[in-house]
Amino acid sequence: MTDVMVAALASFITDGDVVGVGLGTPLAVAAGLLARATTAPGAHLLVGGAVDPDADLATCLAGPEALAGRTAGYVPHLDTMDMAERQAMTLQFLRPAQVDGAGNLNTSRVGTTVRFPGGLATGDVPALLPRLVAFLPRHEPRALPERVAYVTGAGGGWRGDAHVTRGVVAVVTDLAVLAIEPEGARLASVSPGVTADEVVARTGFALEVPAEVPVTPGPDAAQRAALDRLDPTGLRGLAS
Amino acid sequence: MKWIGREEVRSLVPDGAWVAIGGIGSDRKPMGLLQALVDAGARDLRVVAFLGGVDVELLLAAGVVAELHTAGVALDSGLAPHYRQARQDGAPLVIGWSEGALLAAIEAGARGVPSLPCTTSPRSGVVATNPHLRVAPDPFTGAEVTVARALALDVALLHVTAADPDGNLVVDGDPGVDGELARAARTVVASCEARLDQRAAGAVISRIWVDALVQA
Repeated sequence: MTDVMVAALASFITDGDVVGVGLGTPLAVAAGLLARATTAPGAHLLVGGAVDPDADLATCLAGPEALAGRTAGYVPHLDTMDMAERQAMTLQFLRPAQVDGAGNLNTSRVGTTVRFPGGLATGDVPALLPRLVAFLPRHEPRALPERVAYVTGAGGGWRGDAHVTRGVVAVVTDLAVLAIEPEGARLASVSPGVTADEVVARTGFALEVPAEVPVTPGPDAAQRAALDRLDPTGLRGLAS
Repeated sequence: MKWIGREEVRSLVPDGAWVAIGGIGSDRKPMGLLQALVDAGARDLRVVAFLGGVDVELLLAAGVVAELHTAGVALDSGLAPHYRQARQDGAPLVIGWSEGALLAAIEAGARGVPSLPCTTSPRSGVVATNPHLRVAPDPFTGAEVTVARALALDVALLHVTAADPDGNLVVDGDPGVDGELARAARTVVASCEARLDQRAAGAVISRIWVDALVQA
């Protein structure tokens, strides 16, 4: 299902987007590279601090030094925070430990027994960026609870009366794409071979299920060719 | 500003000091300075690591940390085991921040104001669990904002690419929050990979902020 997820994430990127992807998240980086190579050549990609890298996935994952001479420059970490605050970044992919139907994110902890890296920028970006798309390599109830155990990042917000930021607008998993809307969460599509009932059974929060649930389209021929070129060894499938 | 030996670092870091560590994740961490502190018996440090990694693991493993403030700690290989254990045990005390909030706290200290607002969502659990963060109405608009209390940093430990003859620090790559730490901390110690013969051109951390240099 890796390539279905990569194509699904890439489908959220349009020309004109400035997309932040982390460094340690092969799925997200692959999706960004795929979009720039096929459906959204006018989008800008930030891989860590590297702007619009012209490189394959393995090189991108090797870190900033590996991309020397193959980017449109570097944005220091603090500047990416400023970009988030000024909405100069329009979309970010995040892989949380948990996400709930209201778009709350947990990258911190569950109870007292399991700990994750910490707040990072998750406490900041949901109220700042126009759109966040969360992704989970494995769709399981404990990752999609009714309410996250700890709210690292709260969905949506506004500052003054200038604009509304949506926070998390979708969750992409190996089983489905869920739309997070102000009215609640909706099953937008299921992965090939997966039924709506399976998805509902493995989701801890309420899901509106339309009468006809589309199947998440995998990569088309052009995208498959691009993925073979960008990631011939399949690093994108190594997401933890 | 003067060059010192590694063995003199300890004299600049009293027990119980607030010590901020520069670098990000596994990038430009002052491991030599930290090891020098551990070897010399430093104790009860209040450590601030904006984004930590092996630096935090080293100090936690050595048992020299009384309190840890960070927006996140991870190793290239994944979770950081000592950090994870500390958070599970509740000891030493780990206070979680978001990057924006911690930056505001550092900047408030640098500017000499008691606190600074930040764009961290007031609804983030980070705000509820951090005594250095409060939600308050902005004095002009009345909007609820998250406000970070200034951190009073005693020491900043940095690792940089080079120092020029005047003691200006050159940083190749992402400077992280090193510039902010240099302005905020009372004492700044930098380990340097190279000593330049000529004055550095371009962006530097000014010698104004630098107290001691150590050859890495």
